[in-house]
Parts: sequence; C-alpha cells; structure tokens
Amino acid sequence: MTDANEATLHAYYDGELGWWAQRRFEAHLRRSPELRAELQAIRSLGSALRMAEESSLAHGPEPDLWPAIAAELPNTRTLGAMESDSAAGSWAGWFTWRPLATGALAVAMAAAFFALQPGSPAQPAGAGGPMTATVRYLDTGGRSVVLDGGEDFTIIWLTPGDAV
Amino acid sequence: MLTRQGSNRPGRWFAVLLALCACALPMLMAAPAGAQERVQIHLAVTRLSDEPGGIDPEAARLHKKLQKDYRYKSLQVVRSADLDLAIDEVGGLEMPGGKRVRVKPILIDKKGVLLSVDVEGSIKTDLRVKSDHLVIIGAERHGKGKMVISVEPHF
Repeated sequence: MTDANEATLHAYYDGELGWWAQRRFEAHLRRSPELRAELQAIRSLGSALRMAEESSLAHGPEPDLWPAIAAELPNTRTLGAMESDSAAGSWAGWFTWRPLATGALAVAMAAAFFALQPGSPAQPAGAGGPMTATVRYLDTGGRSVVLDGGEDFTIIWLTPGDAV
Repeated sequence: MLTRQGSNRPGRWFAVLLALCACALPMLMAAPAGAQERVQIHLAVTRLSDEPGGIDPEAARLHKKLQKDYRYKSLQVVRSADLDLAIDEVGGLEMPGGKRVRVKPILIDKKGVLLSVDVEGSIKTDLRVKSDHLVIIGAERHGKGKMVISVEPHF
C-alpha cells in the first residue's frame, strides 16, 4: 500500500475526508481487499486501545513517570543561551533582549543619520535660524565702501567717487 | 525518543538584520553629502538711476531692500542669469561696458555657502551666506546711473 493510500485510509478512519473524497475512497475500498483488511486492522486497534484505557481507569490512575524522566535529562541551561532549544527558552529570550537590542540599534542609526546631516532634516542646509552674512574678504581697490544689511540681505556699496 | 527541536533562527535573523544595518549606514552618510554640492545662483545686473523709467518687476526684491536708504527713480534689470554651480565652479555674466561679474561657490556647510564674488574693476569679496540670502553690490557707475549686482544663492 502506498503512503498516499495509507494517509487517506487514516484520514477516512478519523472522519477527516470531505464528502467527495470520502465517496471516492469508499469506491476504492470496495475494489481493494487489501485496503479493507487494513481498515479493519485499524478499527481493531482502536477498539483494543479503548478497552485498555477503560481497564486502566478501573485500576486507578497510572503513576506519573515524568519527574523521573526529567531528573535524567541534561539541564538545558548548562548548554548556554544560544543552544537552548526548548520552545519556552529560545522564544522567551527572543521576546526580551533581542527586540530591545534591535530597537536600540535602529534608534542609534536614526540619531547618527540626523546628526550627520549638514542641516535640519526638514530644511535645506544653510537655512534655518536668523539669516546673516559674514564678509570674509573684501577688496575694493582702495575705495571706500558702505556695508549694510538685514536678516536676509547684505549690501556692499561703493561710495561716490568710484568711477572706473 | 526525545529529539532536539527547532533551530537558532532568532539569533540568525538578528545577525542578518545587524549586517544589513551596518551596510546601510555608509549609504545614509553618503547620500546627503552628495546632494549638497551644487548651488543655484540667481545673478542679475541692474541699473539704478535718477532718470524716469519705473521699477522692473524682476527687481522687486532688490527694490524692497534699497528703497529705504537709496534714492532713485528707476530700477531696470539689464542682464540676469540662473546659474547651477558645483563647488569651485565659476559662473558669471557680462555687464554693459564689457566687464564681467563672476561668482564661485567655495564651500557649503551648516553655516551656509562661502561665495566668492568678483566684479571686474570694482570689488572682490568672499561672503558666507545662507540660502536665499540676497547679496547686493553697488558697483561702478554707468552713465547717469549705477550698476548694482545682486547675487541670490539657493541650496
């Protein structure tokens, strides 16, 4: 019997097949004595298990074996945080320090990005704040000049007598 | 039989994220610097005179700054140019009479742009100005008027 047939057989026994798949499988069952024998075996096993369960309950609850088993298992903490494979261990760590570290890294990168900008991120470089100018060098060829200005303008004005 | 379940996927995922962030940081640093290395400059030569002629609309901002302290009856834009200059690139235009006015951005930083302005035969100056700051240079006479050079950087 193929794996696909075995899987379908178990699904049929568990009542998990849809209506159309169930009808097709039943037609297959009618044509295959081997498949019918397998189905009967599964049904017998199920009955035996149910009878065994009822019998054990009649004799009282079974002893809890887990404490003895757990005592024999290696301590997963001694394997180190990176090798902890229990679902609770690895995911508990994932939900604690790793997101915090990732978030801190993202914040640091954003801070570095804005700190490296030549100006405010919302404004072009050189803008923002009072507009002033700084005259670093001025050569008028010896002629007098008037300097004036305001927040957004600067005037360098050669005085009369400056004909060239 | 007990078996090891799962793999260290969260740790591997975090390492990949960290590597991506490390690669992205240099790119974030580089992009803004590249975008700031050009300056757009509006350069104009305007004739200021006591002769009637009105105020050229193109010189409206210049007129607003000059009218309080300077007496004139007309303001006419003679030549103008919109320049797009890289650092250390020279741009300019020719004034009436054949002399030239030249501008060159020298440096851009948080304080503004350091501009070198050379009005041939009149003034040479280096100024650090912020974006959209109007620089007005009252230069040589021209007939009964005066040539005024205006420089407006934008970056």
